[in-house]
This record gives sequence, C-alpha cells and structure tokens, in this order.
Amino acid sequence: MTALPEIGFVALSAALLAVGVFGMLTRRNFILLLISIEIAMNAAILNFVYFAAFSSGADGLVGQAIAVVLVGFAATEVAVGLGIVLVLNRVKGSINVANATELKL
Amino acid sequence: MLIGAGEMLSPGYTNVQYTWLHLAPAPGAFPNGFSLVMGTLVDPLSGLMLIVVTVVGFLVMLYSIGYMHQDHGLPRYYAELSLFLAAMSGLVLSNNLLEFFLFWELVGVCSYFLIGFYYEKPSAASAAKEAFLVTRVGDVMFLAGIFIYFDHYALAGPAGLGGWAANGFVFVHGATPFLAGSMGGNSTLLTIAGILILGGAAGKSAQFPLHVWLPDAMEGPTTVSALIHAATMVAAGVYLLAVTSLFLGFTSFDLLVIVAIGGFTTLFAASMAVVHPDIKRVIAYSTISQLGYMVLAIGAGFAMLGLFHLFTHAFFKALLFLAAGSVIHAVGTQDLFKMGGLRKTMRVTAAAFAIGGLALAGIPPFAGFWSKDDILAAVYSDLGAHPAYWPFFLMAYAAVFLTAYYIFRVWFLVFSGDHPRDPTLPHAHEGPWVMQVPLIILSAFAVFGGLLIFVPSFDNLLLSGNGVAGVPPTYGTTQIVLSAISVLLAAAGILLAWRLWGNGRVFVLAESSPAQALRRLLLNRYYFKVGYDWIGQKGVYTVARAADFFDRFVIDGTIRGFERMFAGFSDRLRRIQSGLVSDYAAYVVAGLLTVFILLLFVAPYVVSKWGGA
Repeated sequence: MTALPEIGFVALSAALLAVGVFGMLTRRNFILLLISIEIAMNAAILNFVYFAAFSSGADGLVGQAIAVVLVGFAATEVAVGLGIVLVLNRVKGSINVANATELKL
Repeated sequence: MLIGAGEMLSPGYTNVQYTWLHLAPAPGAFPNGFSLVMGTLVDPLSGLMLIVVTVVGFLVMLYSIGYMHQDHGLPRYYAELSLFLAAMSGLVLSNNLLEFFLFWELVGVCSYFLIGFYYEKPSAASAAKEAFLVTRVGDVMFLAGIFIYFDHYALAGPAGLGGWAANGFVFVHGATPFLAGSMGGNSTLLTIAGILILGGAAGKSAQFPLHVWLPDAMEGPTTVSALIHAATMVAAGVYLLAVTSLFLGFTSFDLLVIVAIGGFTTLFAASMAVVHPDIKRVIAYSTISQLGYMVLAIGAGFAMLGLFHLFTHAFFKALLFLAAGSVIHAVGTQDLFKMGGLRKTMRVTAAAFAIGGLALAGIPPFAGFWSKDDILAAVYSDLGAHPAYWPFFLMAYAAVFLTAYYIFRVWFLVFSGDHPRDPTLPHAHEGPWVMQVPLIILSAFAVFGGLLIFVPSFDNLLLSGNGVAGVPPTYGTTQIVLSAISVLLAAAGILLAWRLWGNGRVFVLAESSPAQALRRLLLNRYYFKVGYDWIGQKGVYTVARAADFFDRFVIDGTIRGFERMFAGFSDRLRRIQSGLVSDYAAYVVAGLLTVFILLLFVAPYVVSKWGGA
C-alpha cells in the first residue's frame, strides 16, 4: 500500500463524525437526532470509500461493497427511525425525546 | 426372642452375630482406618434383655387398651410406644458402640414424646423437656466417651492395636474385657472415657446427680411410667454399663466411682421416697434406688447379677406401676392422703400391689429378694479386696429398710383402712380384664421370677455369663446371715409402716419436731431441682442473653451495615438510568472513548511493562 496522499479526507470524515456525535448528544428533536446519526454514519461510509480508492485488487472492491451495504443499512435505519417518530408523535403528541423517559426504574 | 431364650438355656457363653452393613471410608482416610457397622449380636445378655423388653412391653400395650381408652391421640400413643420398644430392642441387639448410641438416642427421644404425651398440660411439657435435657447431659458425655475411644483406637492407637475403630467398634467377646485386656487399657484417657460412659448411663438410668428428671417424668401416662421404669429407658443405662464392663472393661478407678454412685443413689433416692405424698413419685424414687443396686453390682464386677436384678425389677416395677395405674384410673387422683380402704373394692389390684411391694422390699420368696440379696452378698464378698466399697455397701443395706417402709406406707395408705380419707372420691372399681390380666401375669413373674436362679442353665448364664466370673451363690453361713439381716430390716420397715399408717392411721409429725427440717429437705428433694433450676435460669440464661446480644447487635449489626451500604450505593446507581435517549448515547460515547484510551495508551504501557512474549 502506498502512503496516503492527503490527510484532508480523513480529517473530513473525522469532522463529520464529530458533528454527528455532537448532534446526537445535544438534539432533543427525534428527526434531528436521526439526521445526526445519518451524518455520523456517513462519516464511516466515507472512510470506506476513501480507503478503498487507495487499495488495490480485491481489497478495494471489498471496501466499495461494504460502503454500498452501509448505504442500505442507513436507509433501513431511517425507515425504522421514521416509523418510531410517527408512533411517538401519536402516543406523546410531540417528537421531543425528552418527553419519552418512561423506560427506567 | 426365641434365639435369646435358646441362648440362655445353653451352658456357657454363645452368641449369634450378624453384620448387616459394613461401610468403610476410602483407605487412608484415617491413619488406622475406621468403618461403620450395622448388625446384631444376640448373646445371653441381650437375650435376657429381650425377654424383659418384649414381655413387659406387650403387657403394657395390653393394659393401655383399658387404661387409655378415654384419651385422645391414641394413634400417636401407640405409634410412640411401638417406636420406643423397637428402639429398645435395637439397643439390646446392637453389636457395636455406634449403633448402640443410635438406638440410645432414639430411646431418649421416645421418652420425650411419651412423657410429654399430655403436651397441653404445661407441667407435662416441661417434664418432657427436663427429661430430655437432663439425659442429654449424659448423652453428650457418652458421645465424648466414644470420641475418646475413637481417638485412642482409630486415630492415634498404638501400632497393631488400632483395629477396633476399623472394625466399627464391634463388641468383642473374650476371656477378659477387650480394653482391659489385649488393648492394655489402664491409662488416664481410658479412665476418663469410662467416667464419661458412666455419665451417659447415669443420665439414662437417673443416677445421682442426674436423677432429677425421673420423678418429674411421672407427668406422662402411668403406662408410660411402667414402661420407662421397667423395660426401656432406665434399663438402657444399666445395660450400657453392663455391656461396657463385660466387653470393654472399666479401669479400677472407674469401678470405684460406679460403686460410689450406685451405692449412694440407693439410699439417697430411697430417703426421698419416704415422705412423698404422690403414689407414682414414690414408686419413681424406688426405681432410682433399685437402679442404684444394679449400678452397684456392675461396679463391683458382677454385671450379670446387676442384669438379673434388672430382670426381676422390670417385672415387679411394671407390676407396681400398673397397679398404681389401676388405682389412679379408679379414683382419679394420685394423692395418697385422699385414698384409703381400696382393698375392699379392688382386690386384684391390692393383691398385685402387695406382691410387687413384697418383691421390692426383698421378702423371700418374691423375686426381688433373690436378685437383691445376690448383689449384696456378692458385693460383701468383694469387700475384702476393696475396702473402699464399705460405705456404699452399708448405704445399700440401709436402703433395704427404707425401701420396705416406703412401699408399704403406700400400700397401707391406699388399701388399708375402712374408707377413703377424702369422701368426695368416686366409688372405686376394678378396671376391665385387659387391665387385670397384665397385673396377674406380672404378679406371677414377681413371685417366681427370682427362683429362676435355681434353674441350672439360667444359673450358669448369670454366673459365668460372658467369661467374667461372678460368685456362685453358695448360700454358706455368710450369705444366710446377710440375707437374714436384710429380711429382718425389710420386716422392720414393713412393721414401722404398719404402726404409722396401717388400718387408716395417719401419722402426723409434730410441728415442733426437729425432724420437720429433715422432712422439708426430703420433700424438696434435697433442693436439687431448685439448684438445677437456678443454674438453668441464672447461669444458662445469662449466657443465652449474652449470646443473644452478640447475635443481635454484633452479627446482625454487621450484616445490616453491609445491607445499608449496598442499598445506598444501588440507589445512587439507579439514578443513572434516566430514560433519556441522549444520556444513553452519552454513556455509549464515553464507553467508546474509554476503550480507545485503554487500547491506545494503557495497553501498550502495560504490555511493555509486564508483557512477556
């Protein structure tokens, strides 16, 4: 494997992850929470694509394949998440996660 | 029983031994090995006892049908009675010390059940507890004695002599007792073990100073008293002493202690019987006193004579108790000073009680005479070799007079005179035939039982029973003089009883008489019970309170402290679970960061410091 030409790509995905995590910890709106998770997940996908591009042979193909699978995962997650949003809105009358804290001792 | 009878009639010593179970732990578990044996041994000793246990047990069962017919809980009564007899039969058939102890405990617990048969009555419940606890003192001593034998012969026995425990403490018959002979036992340790065995026997057989439970055991039904006093409970202690002295052997110091306890108990118990107003308790004291004779005989080295007295005593004592039971059944009280004149309405009972009394007093030709006089003559013949036995021999002799006096005091108070002293007593009548037949059968035994020593093979059994020679009753001048003296003493006792109590007379001791102090002392049973109660209340209760304090505040306090600590800790930990999704996300992120830090910084450091390969 050759030396990585640019640190910028990795820095970009790290920044995306940081933004996503920050959003997860601070947002109370469920939809914004989902968007934050998407951002963090896309940081990971970006890493796969990036490293696949610098790999040769089967390794590169595997990286790209995982990236595509992860895009599928993200879509599934959003589908489930939006389903939860609908139910939450119906039960609680709002989609603020701070209102849904029944699951505790 | 048939085997036992057959054994008895064959000359010399023969035995039938059968081992049912033999459990040995892994070899090397104990230095000299140890094993557990369950089996039976039928020899003249147990044959004699089996006859006593089964015959008296059967008659008591029969009598109970009449005596107990108004009582509730009869299934329990008969179940306990049967267990009692089974335990006693097992005890006399045991072929080793551990099995013996097993049945010994079973006998103890059955006596607890039966003494407390009327458990609704507080006095009966407490008498049962007392009997159990007092005999337990003896049981613990017995067990400690077994431990010493175990320690001496299984764990640290001298080379070549460690086989006894490995064989499961089996009773070994030999020309000389096992421990005294081949085991070379005359050590301090064996003396202590012998004293402990004596302690066990004293507890079961109500010998001084563990005698207090027996008079209180009168709280049980009279039939139970008859059984306990004749065939089962108290016989176990004497049997233990006999078995130990014949098979294992006591050291000479042990023998002196046994003689002292037995001789002293005869007079001590007889003196208490003199003043007591309760018909059953008088007979109870007479049992303690008669057991003293047996212990005396065994201590002086005449175990078979002791067992012969046990044999005759079982019959006439069961007779006395069952006759007393008939009286109690008829008049509904145990107070001698309310009774009187019952001779007219209860002829069979009066005759039976008189026969039992004559046998107890030792008037020839009744059973008690032969066995008691054999004991006295045998001990007398031994006095030359053991001058230390003199005082105890004299005590036993003096007790003959008291015995005759107190038992005929009872007879005259109950049966002579014209009418009951308490006119409110119900009109007395004889019990049903199931109560009379046992009285008649036991009367026959009480009359003729002692003559068995003139049957040649029975005689042989008694005198050379287990290879331990007794003295043949030669009936030379010495024996005849001794017998004459004891018969005269007994006759004097009966005459005194007649003078004081006969024909409806009531002897009242003057208030100013100096003998009043003695009377109070005797009525209070030498203050032994008070003393034991004091020990129980003050001594044991103080210790119990201290233990309770320790348990409540130290042990429980520690546990509660831990409990509070963990409860507070978990209460705080609980609050972490807020239910808020963002908080959980924060924990996940924090955990992830921790793992990163550990992998990136801590792990390389640890590996560089301690990692080997």
